[in-house]
Amino acid sequence: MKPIDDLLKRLFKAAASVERPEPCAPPFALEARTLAAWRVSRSTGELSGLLRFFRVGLGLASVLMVVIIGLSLRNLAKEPGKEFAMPNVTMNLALSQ
Amino acid sequence: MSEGGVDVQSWVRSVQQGDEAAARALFNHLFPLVIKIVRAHLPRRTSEEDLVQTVFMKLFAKLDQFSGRVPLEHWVSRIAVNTCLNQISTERVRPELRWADLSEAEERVLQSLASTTDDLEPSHNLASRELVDKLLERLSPADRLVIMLMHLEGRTVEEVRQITGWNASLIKVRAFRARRKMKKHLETLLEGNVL
Repeated sequence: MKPIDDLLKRLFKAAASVERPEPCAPPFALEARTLAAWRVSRSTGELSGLLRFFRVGLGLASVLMVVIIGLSLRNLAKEPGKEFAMPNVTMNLALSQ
Repeated sequence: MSEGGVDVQSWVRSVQQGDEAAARALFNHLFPLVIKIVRAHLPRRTSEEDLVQTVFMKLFAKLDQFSGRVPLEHWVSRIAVNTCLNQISTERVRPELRWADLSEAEERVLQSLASTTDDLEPSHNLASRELVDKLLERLSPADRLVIMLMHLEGRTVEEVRQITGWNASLIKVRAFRARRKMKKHLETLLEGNVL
């Protein structure tokens, strides 16, 4: 083992033996602050869930509207002759008389 | 799942349903673990309490994702460690450590280490820890974490894997590189200053 490896190993050993005191109970203010933030985030989460629901609904309604408009236009394009059917019949009758 | 006589799983379920008393109980149960991790990996410009709160907010928000397949403590450790690492990653690594940056006690530790092959006297332990902390500040967050866990907390590679989620070979490589960087800093310090 190189001297520097051994030096670092001994340094780690000494440093690791230092016990740092840890609080077993959280400060009351921190507990209250964290729970209050959680409460706020929950209500914000519920609101954003509702917002997401409305956004999805709006999207679906838009798609449905586009489909219906498309179908209507298609039907109109399919039957252009119908508009002139009655005048044609009337004119044919008049001519035949 | 019962840990130390408390039914953590029922707390988790209650918190998911918005039970504040259960959230308080879970907070108190997990606080010692979270504060330990936060103190070990506290970024320089962040308050300890702010970081604890951030960890708990993430924990409560992600509680739906807790499957119960691993102990809650491991899952919480991972969240806490990642939160700290994200926070630290915004900080720049401090430049090289110089002899003038050391306190008198830290200088004595280095001199003692260089002049003998024996273990340090117990009276040097605190200064040793401070010296190691200064060396750790020169490492990247991930390297710092590996050294803290393996060499200061005495955790095995498997334990580090459970805490961080990194694979074993990555942990070993990071530990090796981090030690190499620390040795380089120590050598630079010792050159011309000791003996």
